[in-house]
Amino acid sequence: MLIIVLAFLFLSILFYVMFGGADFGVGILEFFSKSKNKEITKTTSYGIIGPIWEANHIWLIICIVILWIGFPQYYNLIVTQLHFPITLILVGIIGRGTAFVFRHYDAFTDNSQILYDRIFQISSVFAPFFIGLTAGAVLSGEMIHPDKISSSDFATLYIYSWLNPFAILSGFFIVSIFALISALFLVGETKIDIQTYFIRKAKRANILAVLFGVLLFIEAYLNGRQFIYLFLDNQLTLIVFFTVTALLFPLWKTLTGPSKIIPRLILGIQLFLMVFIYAALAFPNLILFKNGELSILENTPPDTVFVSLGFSLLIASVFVLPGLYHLYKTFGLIEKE
Amino acid sequence: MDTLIAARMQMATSMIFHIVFAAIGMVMPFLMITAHYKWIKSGKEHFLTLTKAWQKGVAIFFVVGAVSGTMLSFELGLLWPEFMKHAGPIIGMPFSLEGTAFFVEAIAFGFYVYGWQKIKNKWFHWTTGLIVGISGLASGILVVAANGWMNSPSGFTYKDGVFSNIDPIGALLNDAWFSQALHMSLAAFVAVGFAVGGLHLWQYHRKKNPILHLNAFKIALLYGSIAAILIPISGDIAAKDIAVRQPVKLAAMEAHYETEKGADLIIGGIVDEKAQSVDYAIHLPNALSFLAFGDFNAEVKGLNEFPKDEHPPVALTHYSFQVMVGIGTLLMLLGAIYFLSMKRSNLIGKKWFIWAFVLATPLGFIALEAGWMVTELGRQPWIIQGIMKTKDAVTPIQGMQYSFYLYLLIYLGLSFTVFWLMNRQVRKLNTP
Ligand code: HDD
Ligand code: HEM
Ligand code: HEM
Repeated sequence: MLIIVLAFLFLSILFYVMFGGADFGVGILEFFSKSKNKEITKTTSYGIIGPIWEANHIWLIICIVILWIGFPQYYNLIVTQLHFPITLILVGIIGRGTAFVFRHYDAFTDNSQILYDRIFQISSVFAPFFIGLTAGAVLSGEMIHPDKISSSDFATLYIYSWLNPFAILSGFFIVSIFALISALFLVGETKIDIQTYFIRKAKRANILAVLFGVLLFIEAYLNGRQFIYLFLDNQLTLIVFFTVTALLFPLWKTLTGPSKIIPRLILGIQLFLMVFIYAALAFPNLILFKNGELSILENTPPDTVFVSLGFSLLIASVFVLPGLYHLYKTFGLIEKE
Repeated sequence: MDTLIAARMQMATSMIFHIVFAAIGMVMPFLMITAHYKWIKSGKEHFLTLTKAWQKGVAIFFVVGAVSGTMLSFELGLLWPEFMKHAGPIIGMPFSLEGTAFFVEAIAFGFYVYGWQKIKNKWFHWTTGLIVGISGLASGILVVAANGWMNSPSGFTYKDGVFSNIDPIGALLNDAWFSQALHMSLAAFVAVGFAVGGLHLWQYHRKKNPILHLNAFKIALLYGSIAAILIPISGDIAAKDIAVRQPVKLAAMEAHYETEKGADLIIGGIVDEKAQSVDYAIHLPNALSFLAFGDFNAEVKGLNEFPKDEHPPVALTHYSFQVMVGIGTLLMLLGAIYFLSMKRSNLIGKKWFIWAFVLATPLGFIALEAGWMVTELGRQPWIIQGIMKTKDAVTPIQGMQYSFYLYLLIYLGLSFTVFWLMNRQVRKLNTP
C-alpha cells in the first residue's frame, strides 16, 4: 500500500504541475501580453479553462492530504521551515481564484473589471513563483535537519532555508514552465488567426524555461549543491535529461502542425520525466537537507494508516477519474469535436 | 499578542469566514435544483431565471469557499504543526474522503454550469446539479467528523506521549461525529434557508419582480423550516452527548459552577468569572439535569469539579450558547408559521409576516457561528480533548500576529467584495 500511496503522491504532484500549471499559465500569459492582446487571452482562456479550472486545483489538496496523513514528519518540516513562502502562495491563490470568478461572474461589466484583471494577472505570476520557490527550497539543500533545529537561529531556520538563489531561480523556472504549458494548450484550442500568436508565446516561454533550467544547473554547480551531484552521478538521470532535451525538437516541429494532441503529449512526457527524475534521483530522501539525511520513509505511521489511505485513494479514483475524463471530453479538450 | 493568541485568532477568523461559504456551498445547490425541477415540470420562465441567478451565486460562493478551504488546509499545518504531526495520520482519512467529495463536486459543477448548451438530456443535466449538492453535503459531514474527533478522540492508544494502534476508521466514527454532523447539516439548511428566503421576501415586498422573488422565498423556506423544526431535537442529542463526553464544556455552556443534583437550567444572565456566579439569569428548576441526562434529579458536574487551568472561557461559551438556543427557538416558531402560511396564503401579504422573515435573515448564520464558538471555545484549553493542549500544538514561528493581520485583511476584503457582488446580482435580477 505504501507504493500505491507514493504513486498517488507522485501523480498528484505531476497533475498539479500539468493542469494547475495550464491554469496558472493563462494568467501568466495575460500578464505578459501587450494590452491589446490581453483581451484575446482572457476570452479564449475562459472558454477553455472555465469548466475545468476548479477541478485543476484539487490536486494540490490531494498532495497536502497525502503528506499530512502518510508522511507527517516531512509535512511538519515543510510547513514550519517554509512557512513564509507557503503563506505567500496562499495569498496568490486567494487573489487569483477570487479575481477569476469576480471577473467572469460579476453581474455588470464596468470599470471594476480592470481591477479584477490586474489582481488576476499579478497573482497568477505571484503564486507559481512561490510554488516554484518552495519546491526549489526543498531541493536546495538549505533546509535544516530536525536534529539540528534546536541549535539553529531563526534566520537560518525560517529565512535562509528558502531565500537562496537556487530557490529563486526555481521560482522563475516554474513560472516559465506554466506559461509554456498553457500557451501550448491554447494553441490547440484557438482558430488559425490567433494560433500564431500563441505559438509565438509558447516558443518564448520555452526558451525562458530552458534558460532558467540552465541557470539552475549552473548555480547548483557553482555552489556545490547536493542536487547536482545526485544528478551527475547517475546514468539514468543523464539519459532522462537528454531525452527531455531531445524532445524539444519534435515539440517545436509539431507545435505548428495540425494535431493538437501530439505537442501536448510530448510536453506531458517531458514534465513526467522531470518530476520522475527528481523522485528517482533523490528517493527516499526527497527533502535535501543542509546537514544530514532524512528518508521520507522514516517515522511514518503504521501500515493500517497506509492501508486505509491507499484504499480511500483507490476508491476515490474510481469516482473521480471517469468524471474528469468525461468533463475534459465533453468540453472538447481531449478530441476535436 | 503572543504567537498562541495570534494563531488562535487567525484560526477563528478563517473558520468563521469559511463556514459561511461552506454552508452556502452545501445548501444552495439544493435550492437551485429545486427551482430547476420546477422549471422542467412547469416550463415557467421565472423558474429558469431563478435557477440561473442562483447558479451564479453558487459559482461565486463555491470558488470563495474553495479558496478559503484551500487556505484552511494549509493553515492547519502552518498554525498547528505539532497537532497535525500526530493527528494527521489518525484523522486524515475524512480529509482524504472530503478531498474526493470536493473533486466530485467540482466536476459535477463544471458539467452543470456549462451543461446548459452541451448536455442534451435535461434530466441528466439536472442530476449533475443534484450530485453537486450531495457531494457538498458529504464534504461538510466529513470535516465535521474530523472536528468531532478533536472533541472525542478515538481510534488510537495514547501512552506517554506516543500515539499507537492507529485505526483511521475508528477515528472517523468517533462518538461525536454523528450528533455533530447531523446538527451541522441541519444548521446549514436553517442558516441558508432563512437568509435566502429573507432576502427574496424583501425584494418581493419592494415589488421588484415579485413572482420570481415569492417563489424563491417559498423554495428557500421549505428547506429552512423543516430544518428549523428538527434542529432543537438534534441539539438536544448533542447536549446529552456532551454531558457524558465533555462535562467541562457542558458546565461552561451553562455557566454552572457547583456540582449538584437536580441542577437548574440557567438562561441568560451576566457571568462573573471571578465571583463564579451568574447574575440576572432566569432559573428553570431541575431543567438542566433533565436536558443533560433525561432525569430531573441527575447529578450535573460543575466547573469547580475540574482544575482551574482546564476551564474554557466560561462567559463567552455561555453567551454563545444562549445566542444559539435563543435563535433556535425563534426560528423553530417561524418555521411553524411558514408551514401555516402554506395553508393560509393570505398570511404572506401581511406586514408582520414580511418583517418577521426579513429580520430573521441573518439569524441562522449568527446561530451557526455561535454554535461553533460553543464547540471550539468549550474545548479549550485542549486541541485534542484530554490529550494535547492547544499551546503545545502551536507553531514555533514568532511574530504570528502579522500573519493574523494579513489574513484578517484578506478576509475582510473578500467579505466586502462578495457582499458587493451579491448586491449587484440582485440589482441585475431586478432590472429587466
Ligand atoms: C442555525 C444554526 C443553529 C441552531 C438554530 C442551533 N444550533 Fe446548536 N450548533 C450549531 C448551529 C445551530 C452549529 C454551528 O452547527 C454547531 C457547532 C458545532 C456543531 O456540530 O454544530 C452547534 C453546536 C451545538 C452544541 C455543541 C456540540 C458540540 O460541542 O459537540 C449543542 C449542545 C447545541 N448546538 C445545541 C443546540 C440546541 C439545544 C439548539 C436548540 C434550539 C440549537 N443547538 C440550535
Ligand atoms: C467551520 C466551522 C468552525 C468554526 C466557526 C470554528 C471556530 C473556531 C474558533 C473560534 C477557534 C478558536 C478557539 C480558541 O482557540 O479559543 C477554532 C480553533 C480551531 N479549530 Fe475550529 N471551527 C470550525 C470548524 C472546525 C473544524 C471542522 C475543524 C477540524 C477539522 C477545526 C479545527 C480547529 C483547530 C485545529 C483549531 C485550533 C486549536 C484550538 O484552538 O483548539 N475547526 N475554531
Ligand atoms: C479544518 C477545517 C476545514 C478544512 C481544512 C477545510 C478544507 C476545505 C477545502 C480544501 C475546500 C476546497 C476544496 C476545493 O478545492 O474544492 C473546502 C471547501 C468546502 N468546505 Fe471546508 N474545510 C474545513 C472546514 C469546513 C467545515 C466545518 C465545513 C462544513 C460544515 C466545510 C465544508 C466545506 C464545503 C461544503 C466546501 C465546498 C465549497 C463550496 O461548495 O462552496 N469545511 N474546505
